[in-house]
Amino acid sequence: MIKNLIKTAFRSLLKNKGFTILNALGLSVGLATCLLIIFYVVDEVSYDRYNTKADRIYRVTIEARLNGNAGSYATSEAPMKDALKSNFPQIEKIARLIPASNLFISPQKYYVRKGAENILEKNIVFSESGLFDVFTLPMIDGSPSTALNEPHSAVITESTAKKYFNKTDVVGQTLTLNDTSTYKITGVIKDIPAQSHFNYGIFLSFSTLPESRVNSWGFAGLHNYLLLKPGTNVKKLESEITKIDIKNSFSPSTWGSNGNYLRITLKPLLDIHLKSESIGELSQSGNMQYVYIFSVIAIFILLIACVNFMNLSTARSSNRAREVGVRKVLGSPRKYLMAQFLTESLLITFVSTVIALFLAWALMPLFNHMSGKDLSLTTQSLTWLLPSLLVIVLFIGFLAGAYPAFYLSAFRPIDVLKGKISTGFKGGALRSFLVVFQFSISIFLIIGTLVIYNQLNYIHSKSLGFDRSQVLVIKNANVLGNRAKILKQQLKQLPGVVNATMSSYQPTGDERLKTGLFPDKIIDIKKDVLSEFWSIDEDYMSTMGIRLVDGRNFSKQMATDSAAIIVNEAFVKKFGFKDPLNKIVYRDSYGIQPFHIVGVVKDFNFESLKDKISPLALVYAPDNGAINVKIHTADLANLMSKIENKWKELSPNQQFTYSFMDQDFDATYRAEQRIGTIFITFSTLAIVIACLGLFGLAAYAAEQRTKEIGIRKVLGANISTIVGMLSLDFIRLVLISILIATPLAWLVMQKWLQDFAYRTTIQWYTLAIAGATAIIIAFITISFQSIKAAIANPVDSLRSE
Amino acid sequence: MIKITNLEKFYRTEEVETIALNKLSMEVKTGEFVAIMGPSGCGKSTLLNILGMLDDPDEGSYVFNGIEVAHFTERKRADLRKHNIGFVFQSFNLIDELTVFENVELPLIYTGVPAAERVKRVEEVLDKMQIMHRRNHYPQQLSGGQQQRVAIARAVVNKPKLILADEPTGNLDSSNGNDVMELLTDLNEQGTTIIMVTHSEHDARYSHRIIRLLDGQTVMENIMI
Repeated sequence: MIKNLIKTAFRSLLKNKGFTILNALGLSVGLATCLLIIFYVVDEVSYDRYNTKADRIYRVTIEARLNGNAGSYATSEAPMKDALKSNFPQIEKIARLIPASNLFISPQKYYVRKGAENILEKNIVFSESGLFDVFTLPMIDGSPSTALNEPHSAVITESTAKKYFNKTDVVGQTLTLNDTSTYKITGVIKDIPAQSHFNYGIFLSFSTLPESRVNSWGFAGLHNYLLLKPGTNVKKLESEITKIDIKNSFSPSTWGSNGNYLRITLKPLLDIHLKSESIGELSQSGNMQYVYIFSVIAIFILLIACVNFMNLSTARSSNRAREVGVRKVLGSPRKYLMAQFLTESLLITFVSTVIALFLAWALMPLFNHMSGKDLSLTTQSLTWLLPSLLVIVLFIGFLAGAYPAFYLSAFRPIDVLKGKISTGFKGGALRSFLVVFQFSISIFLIIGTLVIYNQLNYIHSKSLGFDRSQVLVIKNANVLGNRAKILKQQLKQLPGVVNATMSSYQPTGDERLKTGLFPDKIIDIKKDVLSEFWSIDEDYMSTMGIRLVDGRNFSKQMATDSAAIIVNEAFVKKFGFKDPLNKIVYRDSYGIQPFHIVGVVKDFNFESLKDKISPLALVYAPDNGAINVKIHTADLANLMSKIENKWKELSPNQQFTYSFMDQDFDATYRAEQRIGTIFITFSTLAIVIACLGLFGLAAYAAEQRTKEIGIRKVLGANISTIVGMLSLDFIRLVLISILIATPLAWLVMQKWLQDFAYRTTIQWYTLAIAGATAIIIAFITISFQSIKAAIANPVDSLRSE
Repeated sequence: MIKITNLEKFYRTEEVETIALNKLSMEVKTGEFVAIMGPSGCGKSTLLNILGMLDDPDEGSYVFNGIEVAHFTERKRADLRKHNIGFVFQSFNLIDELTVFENVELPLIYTGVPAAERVKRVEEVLDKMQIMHRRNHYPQQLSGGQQQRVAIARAVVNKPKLILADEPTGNLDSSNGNDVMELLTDLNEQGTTIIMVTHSEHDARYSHRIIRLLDGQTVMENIMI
């Protein structure tokens, strides 16, 4: 029986090659897209799952709001560990991670010696031995319980070991950092899986640092991870920890009034990657929203492909009707017929899945490039992929085949044999609905693509208030120490260099310093204005093209400028100054320091355009974190080598690392750009697949109406009338789709734009372009078939009747 | 074998009601060969469809082998049909995707005959119809006469008690047509009851009895000797 079913299905598919190819093509492309997205989604949701105790690990997160500034912080205070240990037996273990950027006494940048060269190592973190009890980081050499106990100990990953020593049995060897401090390697762990919210290569013992002895509640730069005992009441624990935290805060009475609050939440480890956007996260967070969006798009594309199958199957029902009729007259039960049609769709799905698997495999590098992921088809992924593919084949096979099976097998043999089903194409209300469904999705995606594209374009061309073009950023200039200033002066002499400035703080960088500034000498925490506080030199504004709107620039000649600040307009607004010049604000840091305002700059965007510009104070202080060089040259390569030579003269052992500011800027929006690219690709695919279906439908429609077309032509209809007649049916459906999809897309994209503080509006012509595109594409698709039908010799079609 | 009494069938469209069968009564005994004749639209095909249980009457009684089937459900009719009735059509109605052998085999699959038995019976009937050498061909590769022979083979493979033939020679030339009529006569002589709708007086002469219909009523019966 089954053999018979497969044989019949196979022959039927072979006989209708066009139909089979259209379906298989649509389904394979749809499934391949779906597979790639499944890989993406699986990758995103598998973050941190390598930890065997993942469900019991939580990160202490602080949620706070003070004077209108609300924030969620991934880090918490240093004494937290001891306080928790002594108060809560339900906490089994605590692990702490302290990234170098949170250090305030020790250096924030680390260079590891390899031979004669010092390599800037960003994958460094400080920690303690509890780390290996909480997280699953298998140690292949060394003792996990003691490895990070002693000062100057280091645990490194296998690939780090290979990088610096070309081998992995390196326990007992020494790492030299910043030329001055040495760390003994006490353990080598396996590489951390890519799906981890932290991915360090070097773990150094925190006890090495003076910060480890600062047990003050003012030091809140630590990531505290708790391993809870099974069955712990997390909510209760959170509120108890909150009490402790408030009690130890600088001003316990502040919280709970004026909308101010301070609370501790325990963020489940598995939520950190996708559902946490706290300040100070250890890695770029994923976005649950995008995971949802991509999943939905994948399902949509697959549905479009399934709809093709349903539509084409029922459209050619008249061709199959006679067969169904004969089979029924001969006594075929309905379920047998249904089984036969389902077999056909399962067979097609199976073949398409195999093709899709190859397609997905072939397109994986391209998709990785688009999504910024590093996905691969491994034997390990096959273990979950193959069973799920089987489920997909069955599901799609049934989904796509069920309706045709139901529809075709329901024919009454008497109607069929009498020729009543010959008009099988018409009266397909469901088919019309499905076409509308397909095109609504396609139009929705077109609009989405256009809006994203417009917004990205807008961001790109928006005047940011500073000039990011042709600015070379020389990083880690701090390794030069005092010589950084000499380098800056030397670079300024080079032909092709317009100007140069020295500062860690870049409008496009991530080096930031927030500090509280107060209007009065008597510090009242309620009047705190949280401001960016950047150390710059007198060349900063001219190099960066930042415009002064009031007052003056810093000057070497003014002795008092060390206590002067230049602020932005947002700052002035926040403090409510009518006449900001010479106003004094106070900073509470190792005593109260007064700063007088000497200038006001026009607001410039130094954060993502998703955020409003926040208050900024520029202070006149040496900071050798980086050197920005404004250049103007036709021969960039030549200038670059000259600049690098200058660097080498001053510092032969240090790596010359640099970037261009406009590239840094683009990097800020890489996530959006990726979404944009992926969106464009997906919507193109959706439209292509929908058009494949439309192409098939148009072919059948033309075939069904051959006789009608013949008669009309005999009666004098010309080609354009016929083409118009055949196209109109479909164009009407596309028009309905436009009516459905446009408002929906407008709403959804409007919501997406809300994320940006600076955004374009959705213009009416964007929507019009999307609609017109859909109509034109649909028309071209249909035209192939309708023109073919229209120019056929009417005698041929009439004679055959 | 068949007894119908006061059978009525209407076709309704939005405005008109057409009477296809008007209080028609007739009887067919086991072993008979009956031809039904009449002009286009007289109700011949409707009658044949009802007799073949492809359609149900609006009024009246239809007793088949002593069972009243006029108001049977589709499923029950289908069940009775596949075991008792074979069909031969003017346009052969062979399935293009299946070979000669597979076409003939179909009714046996649907009645649940085991595979080995099917092969035996199909080969037997193909041999009898002298188309054994074409067993692996597809219908399009055969002449009209050969196709109709396959269709007849398919109709008789299940050894039905009744064969309903709807203008079996309508698409054939006279020599092939005569062959087909000879085949049907042979089958009838071996005991199968045959009811045939035809336009051809020539073909009708092969039967025992001609029932002439006009406007859904019997107008005349000729007994052939």
